[in-house]
Amino acid sequence: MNFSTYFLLGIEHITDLNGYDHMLFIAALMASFYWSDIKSILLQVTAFTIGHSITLALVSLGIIPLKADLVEFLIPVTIFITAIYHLRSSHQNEQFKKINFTLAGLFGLVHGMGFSNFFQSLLGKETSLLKPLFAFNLGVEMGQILFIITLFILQYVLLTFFKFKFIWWKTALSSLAASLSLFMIYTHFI
Amino acid sequence: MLKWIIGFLLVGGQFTASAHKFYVSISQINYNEKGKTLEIALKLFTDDLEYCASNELNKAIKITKEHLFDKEVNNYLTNHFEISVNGESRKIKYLGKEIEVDVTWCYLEITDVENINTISISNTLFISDLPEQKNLMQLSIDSFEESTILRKNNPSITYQLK
Repeated sequence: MNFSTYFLLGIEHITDLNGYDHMLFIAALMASFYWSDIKSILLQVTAFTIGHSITLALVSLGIIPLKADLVEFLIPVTIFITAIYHLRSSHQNEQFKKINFTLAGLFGLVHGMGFSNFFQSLLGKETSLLKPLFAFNLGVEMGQILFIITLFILQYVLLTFFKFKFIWWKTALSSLAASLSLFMIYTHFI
Repeated sequence: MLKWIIGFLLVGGQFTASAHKFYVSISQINYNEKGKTLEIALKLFTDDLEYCASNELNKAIKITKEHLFDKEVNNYLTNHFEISVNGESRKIKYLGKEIEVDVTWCYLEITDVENINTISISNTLFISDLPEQKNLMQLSIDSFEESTILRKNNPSITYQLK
């Protein structure tokens, strides 16, 4: 097995435009943050990373079972709750950040199960899956970093050059995440 | 502000939101030195296999049992999975399949294979119907181990072993 193969598959999985559920969650999680608040952004990302890495490993190693159908339903639910939380919070004080941090970690557990659902489809009859798992997980982290950088560059450009008000950015991003995730929940049942 | 929100919601509505569906397969190719055989195991999503084979062969294919549609699956695989050893195209023998939850494992082999210098694989499984398809190759021949992602725009690969 080559490190780069699974690393690339990890990056592509999270940045997949045809399956943008994970990006949408990250966008919802980041909706209330200014690009310059790097410390807070890093903290939120870390919580999400810890959450999804735990379940990605546990499910892939067969320690906890996977209910793929349930996970596919819960993923848009995590996006919706996060988006509504940001829509309803008027200012981002320490308490807001703490709750958001908790959401990132808890909901990260759900997204990690989604990652492992994909990861398991990439496994052949191999003796060891630790190396591919490690490479895939690092790829996912790289993919999420690339997405977050893109997201905040977009925010910077809109706020600086197009004179968007921050509240517009925050509200639009949260509304987009809330409406798309509602639609995903709806399509799950039809 | 409301204008912007409505605008974004309208844009959002244009996406076809759905569960994160992914299109991948694995082909594991191992060389059995004793038997001088290349052993090939393909792990394919059963729904993708049924969909693409049905389209191509103009026939409803439903793989609900392991012995069903072996001829059709063999036909489809022969059309889309080719291997050349040392520049010579080799006949691939279909051995059978196994169902495992939502995937089907297909087993193939090439016999009388010796002194492999180069091996070329062309894998066009599913790509005409599912443009997102990624076919992951895993090759293990003696100490030579390599993996590659094949897709619609580069569906083949040649490995130089010696």
